[in-house]
Amino acid sequence: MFGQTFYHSLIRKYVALVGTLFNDIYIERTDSTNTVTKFIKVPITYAPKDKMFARVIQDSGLDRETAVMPLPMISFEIGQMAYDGSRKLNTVTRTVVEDPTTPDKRKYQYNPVPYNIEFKVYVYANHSEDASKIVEQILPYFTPDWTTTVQLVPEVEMIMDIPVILDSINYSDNYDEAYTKRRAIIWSLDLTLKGYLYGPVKSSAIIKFANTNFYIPKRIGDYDLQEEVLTVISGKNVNSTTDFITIKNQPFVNGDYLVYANADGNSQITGLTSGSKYYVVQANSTGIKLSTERYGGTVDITYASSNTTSTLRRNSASNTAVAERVTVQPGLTSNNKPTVFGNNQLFVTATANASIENGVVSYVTIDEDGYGYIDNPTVTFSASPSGNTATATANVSEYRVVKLNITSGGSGYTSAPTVTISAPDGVTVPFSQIEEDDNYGYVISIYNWEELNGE
Amino acid sequence: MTTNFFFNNFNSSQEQLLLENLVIESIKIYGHDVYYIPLTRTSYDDIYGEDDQAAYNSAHFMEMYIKSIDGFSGDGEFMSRFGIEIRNQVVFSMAQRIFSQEVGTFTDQVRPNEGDLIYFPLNDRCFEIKFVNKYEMFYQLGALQTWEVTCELFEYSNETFNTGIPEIDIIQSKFSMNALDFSIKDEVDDYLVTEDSEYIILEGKAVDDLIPADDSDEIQQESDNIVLFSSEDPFSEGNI
Repeated sequence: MFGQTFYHSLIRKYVALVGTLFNDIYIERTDSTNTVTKFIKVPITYAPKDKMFARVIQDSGLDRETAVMPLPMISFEIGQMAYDGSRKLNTVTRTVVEDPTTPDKRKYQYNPVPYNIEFKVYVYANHSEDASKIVEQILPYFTPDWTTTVQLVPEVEMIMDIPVILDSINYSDNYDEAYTKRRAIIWSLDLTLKGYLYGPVKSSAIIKFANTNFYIPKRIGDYDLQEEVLTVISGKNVNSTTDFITIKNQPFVNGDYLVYANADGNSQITGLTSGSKYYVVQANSTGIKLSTERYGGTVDITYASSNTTSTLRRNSASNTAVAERVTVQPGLTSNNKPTVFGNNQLFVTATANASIENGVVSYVTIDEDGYGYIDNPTVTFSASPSGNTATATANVSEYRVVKLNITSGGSGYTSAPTVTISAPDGVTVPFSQIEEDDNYGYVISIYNWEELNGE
Repeated sequence: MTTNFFFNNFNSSQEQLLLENLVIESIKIYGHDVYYIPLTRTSYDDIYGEDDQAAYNSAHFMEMYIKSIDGFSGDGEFMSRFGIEIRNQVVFSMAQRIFSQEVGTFTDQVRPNEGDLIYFPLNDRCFEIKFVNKYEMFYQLGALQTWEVTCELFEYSNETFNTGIPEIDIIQSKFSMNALDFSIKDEVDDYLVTEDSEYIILEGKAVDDLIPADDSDEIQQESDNIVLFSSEDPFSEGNI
């Protein structure tokens, strides 16, 4: 029914465990001078046996000289089993170990189910003193439990401490019957073994990459953004030259997702469309600019002189929980594993400007330090019209270009050359192109679900 | 009022003797030769009323009549928690005079005692006397001539056998679990012991090999593979 055949011999191991607690008991018999005359090994037997085999083995010639095996002796048997809800473990938790035969795979096993297994141990003797000597060697070890460390499932190196609890002890001695009835002195020990039963051991490939959709707040650490509705008076707050919208004590940060709407009866700010979505860019304490793309270029506001009133609404639902998609970078190793990029920042290519003196590139200025650089990018200059092309190198720190080093200023430049810095390493790869054996495995960027889906 | 003197046949010792002779002769004709093995008490415990040092040091040849003509009675052979149990009962009848001559003369016993053994050569078994009936034949001619003993197959409990009869003494060598039988002694007959006062037992003489129902070795081997013996659990005996 459950689709997999398995057997860990657990109940058999529990039987052996209980047996081994009692399998090496000796008693001494002493004479009147307290000299040890006999040092008797107490045999132990697991009581439930096949009747036919038992007779063939224990009385093979049907001529055994003794009515029972030599006394004293110990026998034990398994009894009732009951589920122990108080020791229940999380059902879906797994134990995972390396598979030594196939290193590309891992063996795993789900948590076991706890069962209390009852055992009965009988001490049978011909003499009360013999029985007492045995029982007194057993009882002090149970307080009332005796715990043994047992390797239950070697395949997954499952080692557990298994307590065996002594529940009760009974003494039976039918000395008060007819003479023709035999006397049997029997101590009965009721034990409860706190065992576990394990399911099958399964095997699965190693997870080398992850494709995870999850929700994170746009503002890290701010999980409860309030809806904000700010009134913008175009002629007062909006600068059509700089495209800057002045907002005193504005609450927005870059990346916030706003909806622009002009008030009823008013004309809208030219350049913005009522009802459209815009992202906040270049936010500071005095105001913001808007972009149609997250971290994109600013919207060009062309006319804002009339005092029309509009609103910028930050929708709390759309800003506090956004579906994100995690992508991975191929070819990374653990040595250059980056942390998760903060604030949902995408890869940004660094830019720089060059200045020349006497046809030679004298210095370069970093305009945009970019984001997402792991290795130093390459820096190229536009070709010199009549000389050597300048060369430079770049240094990266914290995924940004922090320094440009001119290694050769070139010659023959008549105007400042164009500086091109290569794109960040973190180029996302569609999951459909990622092979299982590729050396992937590190989260290096977070993309906005809406952007991926064109929303 | 008393019984009629002329019909009182219970005081005639000659007739009593005649009847006893006839009984003895009948047992000699129809009976079996057995060994009567008295129990020797050496360390009697007054509180528990038992003797775990009991020994069987002599065997006395005599005849007895087996009353169980249809075979053994009792519970027979069955499977119990302690393996195969054989609970065969048999009832013997012996002449009192013969018992006194063959056994009582040597052991000062006036009657068969419960706990004594009867070795039945035909069956090659020892039977332990469970109950002695003095009144088997209730005062025939005014006297008692026999002891009737109800016996059950012997239940060995590491007693010492030293009767001198090999067929009887073999019980100890076959079933004794006394490890000292396999221990090493010095020249003054003291047992050699280890630093931990453990007896030094000859290798390959494990007592558990003697008893087919004993699972000690098998349980130990099985548990050796699962019980952890490591720095985490230094007291177990496993070999993981």
